[in-house]
Amino acid sequence: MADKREAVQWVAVHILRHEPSLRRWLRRTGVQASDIDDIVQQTYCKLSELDSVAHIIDARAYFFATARSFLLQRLRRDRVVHIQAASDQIDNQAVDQAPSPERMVGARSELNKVFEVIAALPKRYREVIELRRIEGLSQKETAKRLGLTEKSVENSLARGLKAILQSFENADRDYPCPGEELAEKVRNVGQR
Amino acid sequence: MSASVEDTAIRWAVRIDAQDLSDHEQRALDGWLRQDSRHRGALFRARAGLALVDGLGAEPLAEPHPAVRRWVRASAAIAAGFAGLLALSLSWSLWSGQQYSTDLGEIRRVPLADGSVVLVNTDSDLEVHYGNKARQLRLDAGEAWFKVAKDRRKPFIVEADGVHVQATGTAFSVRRREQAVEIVVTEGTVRAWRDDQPGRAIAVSAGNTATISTAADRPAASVAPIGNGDPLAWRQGGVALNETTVFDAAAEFNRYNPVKIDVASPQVGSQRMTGYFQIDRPDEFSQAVADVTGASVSKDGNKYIIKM
Repeated sequence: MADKREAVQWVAVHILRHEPSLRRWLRRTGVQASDIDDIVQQTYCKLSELDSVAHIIDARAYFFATARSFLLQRLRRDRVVHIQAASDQIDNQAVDQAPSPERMVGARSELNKVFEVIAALPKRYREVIELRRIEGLSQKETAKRLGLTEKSVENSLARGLKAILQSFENADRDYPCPGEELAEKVRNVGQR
Repeated sequence: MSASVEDTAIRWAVRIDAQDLSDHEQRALDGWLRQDSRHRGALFRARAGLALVDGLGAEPLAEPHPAVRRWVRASAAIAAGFAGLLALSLSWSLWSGQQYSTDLGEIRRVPLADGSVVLVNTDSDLEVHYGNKARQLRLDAGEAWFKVAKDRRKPFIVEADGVHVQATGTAFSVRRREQAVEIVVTEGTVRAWRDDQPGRAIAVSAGNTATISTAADRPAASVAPIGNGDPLAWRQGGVALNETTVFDAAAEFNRYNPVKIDVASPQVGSQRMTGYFQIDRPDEFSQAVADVTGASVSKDGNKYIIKM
């Protein structure tokens, strides 16, 4: 497997934090919960196939647009929804994804939300994550430092990682982002 | 997310990260990835999750070299006079180093060539120069924490506002304050002294914090136990208050956030607070102050105003 460190890093920094709002948007569009997972995974797969991310100016818009294409594929295949209506709705909601200055500022603090998840982990998992994060220790070095087997470090790291990833799956608990929240309210009013 | 695919992806992401996949495992992984684009997506996402942990304040991997900048104090010194140049060239003047800067609210992890690690706190500037005889770093603004790899032949020296802090293998932080430099030692021992008083170095051991005045007329230094507070809570994205005045606590939040806290009433500002807060939640802190003191909080543009 090609080493996609650059793309992985890019997704870590620019994409993951938008996953809750993407999921919320999919749900509002009427996609079933199990299908949301599929679309999200397909979207990440598509991103993993990018040769370069240098040309992407607005990561969030790109993320949404990619998910949207999978959603439309799915709608065509299922033929359960009136496609025109659905795609109109998708268009309206995906409008204007350019990051506002507020969003840029918010984004930095959104990353810090992961701190909260880490802080709430059981001690062992937290230790393993913190040694990695603060001191940059490898799994092997962490095992040595804590006097654990490598298997046990692997386990703790997997548990910690799962908690972090799950925090991005919860579409109800979106990360606060002033500009986005406002847009959300406007949309909700418009739909009434 | 469908539990089995995600769990499998997480397992693989962690295995790949360990960098010791057996041939057998590699084949199993390749097979699993070929099965379904969703598997590939889930693995990619899990690897990004791991990178996010590393990247909370770390270097972007895409960046090959940090910007290398010539230290310009030398040329300023020429303008100031030849004597000045001579004095400066004995210490820091002619070295060029790697510059690491953070924005408001940003915390950056910088792994150094010798295995040492630096966490650069919000709104800070750090210059790093590894020479043949010493590892020299200069904190031009803000605060940083250093986890120093042992190397007896090359002392690790941090300079901040005329104060030098020297370690061999240890962990400590240095923060520039107005007219003072604050040192917190969490492991081992450091020696610290002022430029103009090299003979009066103090030793600070683990569990202690030292404050060295940088005012010319006040060459005082004090050492005290860290106590119940956690001055390094920022490394976990937190602020630990221990009988801290509301004024000081608000100033601490304001170091990190574009939305500022303005304590408009002195009778509120002088009250003391104890507790642990998220660094990026000035709103929660302001509310807590209101709850404790009976003050009111209002938001005006980019400001929380706390007053009686």
